[in-house]
Amino acid sequence: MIGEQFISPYRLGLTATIEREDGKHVNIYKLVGKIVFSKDFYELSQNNHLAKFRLKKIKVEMLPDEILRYKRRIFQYNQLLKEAKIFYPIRLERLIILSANNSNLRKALLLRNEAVDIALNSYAKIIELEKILKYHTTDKTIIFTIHTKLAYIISDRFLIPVITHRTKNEERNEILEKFKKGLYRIIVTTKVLDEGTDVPDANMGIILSGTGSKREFVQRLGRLLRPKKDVENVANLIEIISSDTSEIFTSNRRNKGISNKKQLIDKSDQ
Amino acid sequence: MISSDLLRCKLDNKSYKIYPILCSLEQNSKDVEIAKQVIQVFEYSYQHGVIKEKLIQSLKGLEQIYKDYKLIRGLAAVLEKRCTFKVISQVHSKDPHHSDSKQPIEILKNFTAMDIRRSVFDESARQNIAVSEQTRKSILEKMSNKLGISNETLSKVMWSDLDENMIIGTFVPISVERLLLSYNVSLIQTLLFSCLKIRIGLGSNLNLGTRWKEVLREVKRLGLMYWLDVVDETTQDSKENMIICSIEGALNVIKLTDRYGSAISKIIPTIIKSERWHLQADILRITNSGKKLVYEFEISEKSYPNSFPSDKTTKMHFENSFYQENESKKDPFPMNKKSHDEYNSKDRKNLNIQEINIENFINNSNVPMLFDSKIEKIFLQKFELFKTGWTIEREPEPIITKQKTAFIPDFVLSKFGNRVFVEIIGFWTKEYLERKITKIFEIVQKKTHDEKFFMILVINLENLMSYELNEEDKITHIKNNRNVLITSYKNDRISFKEILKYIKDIENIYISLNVLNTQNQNKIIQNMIRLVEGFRKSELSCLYLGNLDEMLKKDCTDGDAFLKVSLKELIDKNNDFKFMFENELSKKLLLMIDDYILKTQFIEEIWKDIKNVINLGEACKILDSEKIPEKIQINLLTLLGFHIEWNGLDYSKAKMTLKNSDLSI
Repeated sequence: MIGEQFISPYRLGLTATIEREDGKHVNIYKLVGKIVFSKDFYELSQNNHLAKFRLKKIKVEMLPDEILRYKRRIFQYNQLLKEAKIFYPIRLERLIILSANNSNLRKALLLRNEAVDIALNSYAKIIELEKILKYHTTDKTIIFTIHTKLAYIISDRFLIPVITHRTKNEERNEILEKFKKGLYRIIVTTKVLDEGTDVPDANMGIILSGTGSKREFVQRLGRLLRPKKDVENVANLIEIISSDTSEIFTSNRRNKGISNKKQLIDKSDQ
Repeated sequence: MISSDLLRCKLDNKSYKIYPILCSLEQNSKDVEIAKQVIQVFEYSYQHGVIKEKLIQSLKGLEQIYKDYKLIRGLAAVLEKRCTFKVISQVHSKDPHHSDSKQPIEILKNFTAMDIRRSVFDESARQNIAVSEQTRKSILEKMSNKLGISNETLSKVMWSDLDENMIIGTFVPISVERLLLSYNVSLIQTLLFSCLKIRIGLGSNLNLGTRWKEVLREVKRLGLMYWLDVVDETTQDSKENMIICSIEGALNVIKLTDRYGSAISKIIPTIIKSERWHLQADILRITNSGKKLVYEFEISEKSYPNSFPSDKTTKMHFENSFYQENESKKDPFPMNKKSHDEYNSKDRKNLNIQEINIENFINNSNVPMLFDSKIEKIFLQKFELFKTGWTIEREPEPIITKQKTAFIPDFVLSKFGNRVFVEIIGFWTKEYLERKITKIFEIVQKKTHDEKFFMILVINLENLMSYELNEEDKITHIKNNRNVLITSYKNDRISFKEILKYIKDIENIYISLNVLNTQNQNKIIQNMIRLVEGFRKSELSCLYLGNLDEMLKKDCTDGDAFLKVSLKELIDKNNDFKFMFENELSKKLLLMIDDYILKTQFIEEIWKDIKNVINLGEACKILDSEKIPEKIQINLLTLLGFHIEWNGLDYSKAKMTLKNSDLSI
C-alpha cells in the first residue's frame, strides 16, 4: 500500500529477508522489479563476513504440574470443539472469527490461548536456561523471547537488563550502550530488537519460544552474526522449546528458513 | 471510541442494513446489570489499589459469567478513559492503609523504578549475573540493605513502572445510565469510523430550537468536508424544513484517515442532542473472505427508543450531567494533559473541552468566546490588526440562500452593507473543492443583479486528503472570480495580502458605483463649496477635514450613501472626486495638506516669518503660534520648499535649507 504511493520513478529495494510468510513478497517484485543481487548468510558466513554459527535445539519437558494444567486445557478445548461439531483441525484465524459470535468457541479460544501460554512460558525453560548460563560464563549473550511477560520473568529471575517495546528510549539506549561496552554481558529482549536497531554484536543467542516466522528467525540470526575480530569465534544459537506441545509445530516452521543450510549446521556441529 | 473489534452489530444481508447493538437504558435490563458489575470492578480496584493486571483478570471473570466479552470490554474501555493509572509508589503516599508506605516514598524521592533496576542490574553484572537462586537472593539483599529498604519493597518498586503493575490513580465516578449512554454514543462513533458517506437530516423549523445550528457549527468547526441542501418535507400535519448535511466519510479520503475519522465521531454527541434529526450512513464492511460490502446504517431520534433518553426532562438531565461530568473530568487531569502524548488520549481531551465550550456558549453568553480552531483565532486577531474598517463577525448563523442551498461561514466581514463570507476549509480533496466552487458559482449565476454575493475560501494546504503532486497547482486551477476569492494557509500563516486586496476592491467598487454617481458627487461638491466659503471668511487658520465631513453629513438625508463613507475615504479612493475637490479648493485660494485645509493667503504670511529661519525647532515654534497643527507642520515646510536635515529625533537640532527660493503656490 505504502509502496504503491511512492512517486519516485526509480526504486531500489534492500532487504535481508525477501520471503514473507503470507506470500505477499510477490508484490515487492511489482514495485522494484526482480532480484538483481542476492547473497545469503551461508555464503557470507563462509567468506568470514559473518561469524560462523552453530545451531542447537534443546527440547524441554514441561514441569509435571504444567503438563497437568496444559493437558486439562487441551482436553476441555477439544471437548468444546466437539460440542460445536467441529471435528476437523481448525485454523486459529477461523476459530477467532467463529468465536466472535459463539460463547463456547470463545471459551475454547481462551483455553487454547492459556494452553499455549503455559507451553511458551514454561518454567522448565527457565531451569534449562539456568543450566546454559551456568555453562557459558563468558559469552556475550542475547536472550530472545516472544512474550514480553517471559522476558520480564527472566529479567527478574537472573537480574539481567531487559528491553521490550515498553522500555523507554533512555533506558533502552543506556542498556545497549553498557552491553556494547561489556558492562553487561547478557541482556534479554523481545521482538523489538529484531529489525532496524543497531544492536551491539554478541556471540550467543538463546531463543525461548518464537512465532514461527522464517523472516523473523533469519533476522534474529543476522543480529547475532556480526563479524568478529578473532576468526576463531563461532556464534552459538540455542533454541529452547517445549516438547510434546503444539509449540513444536511452530518451531519446525521456523527452521524452514535455514533448512537448505542444513549442511552448515551439521558441519559446524562436528 | 471503542476499538472496532469490539463493535457489536447485526447485519441484514438481504437488504444490506447494519444495526448496532446498543445498550438498553431501561431499568432491570441485563445491560444495566452488566454495567453495574463493570463499574464495581473499577471502583473496587480504585479503592483498594489493585494493580492493572488483576483488574483485567476480574473483567475476564465477568466476561465468562456474562458471555458478552465485547460489551464488557467496550464498557471497560469507556471507563478506562475516566481513569488515570499511576505507579504504585506514588499512590502509596496518599494511602494510610499500607504499612509499608513510608519507605517507598523516601526512596522514590531520589530514585525511580528505573534507577533501582539499574543499580540491581549493575550489581548483578559485577557478580556475573544471578545464575542460581541463591546469588539472586544475595544480590537483592545487598541492594536493599544499601538502599535502606526491605527486600519486599525492593522487588515491588523495581517493576512498579510496568503497565500491568500500575494502579488507578484517579477515577471519575459515573452512574450506570451514563455509562451505558456513553457506550451507545461510542458504539455509533466506532461504526461511523468505517463509513463512506454520512447524511444528517436536521429539522430546522423555528419551533425546534437552535440545536440544529449547533450541529452545523460543529461540522464546520471540525473542518469536515460537507455540503448542505435545504429540503421541504411535507408530512401529514405540517410542512417541515429540513437541512440535509452530507459529510464525506473517513474511508473516502486517502491521507489522514484517522484524524478525519475521529473528527467525524466528535459530531455525534451534538447530533443526538438536537430535537429532530436522522442520520444515514454507508458503512463499509470487509467480509471474512475479503469481499467489500456496503451496508446502510440509519438512526434517528425515534429509533432505538430504549438506548437514548427519550422524553425531554430526562434528556435534559442526561445532557446536563453529561456535561458537568465532562467538566469535572477536566479538573483531575491538569498534569495529564501534558504528559499524555498519545494521539488518542489527546484527542479525547479535546473532545471534552469542546463539548464544554458549546454548553457554556449556549447557557451563558457572558463566557468569553472560546476558539476551537487555532486558525480561526489567528484569522480574527490578525484581521483586526489591519484596521481595514470592515467589521468582522465570528460564527454567524448558517446562511440559507434563496437558491435552496446553505452554508456555514466562519466569519462575515461587512462594510457599507456589503457582506463577505469567509469560510475556512480544514480537510479537503480536489473533488470536494471543485464541487464546492461549482455550487458557489451556481449561486452567483442565479442571483439577481441587485443581490450581492462575496465569498472568501481559505484552504488549509496541509490537510489535502488525496495525493497530488502539487497542492498549489490544484488551487490555482480553480479560477478566481470577482465573487469568490480562493486563498490558502499553511503552518498557521494566512495570506492576508490577497484577502485585503479583495475586500478593498469590493469597497472601491461600492464607492464608485453608489456614492460617486454624478448626482451625489455634485451635491457633495455644492455643499462643500458653501461650507468652505464660510471657512475662508472666518478667522480660523485651518479647517480639519473631519469637521468638514461632519458638517457635510448634517445636510444629508437618511439613506444617503454618503453617510456610510468618510470624506477622507472618498478623496483617497476616487481620483475623479479628488480632482474635482482640489480644483474647487484652488478656485477659492485654499490648499489641502493632509487632513487640513489652509488659506493660501495665510501661508504666504507665515512664509514671510520663516523664510530666513534655519532651525527646525524655531520654525515649529512659529507655526505653533499660528495654530498650525503639529501633524502637518513638516509637510507644510516641505511644501514651502524647505529641505530638512535631521540630526536625530530632536527638532531643535534639525537644520532647514531653502531649496526653491520663490514661493510656488
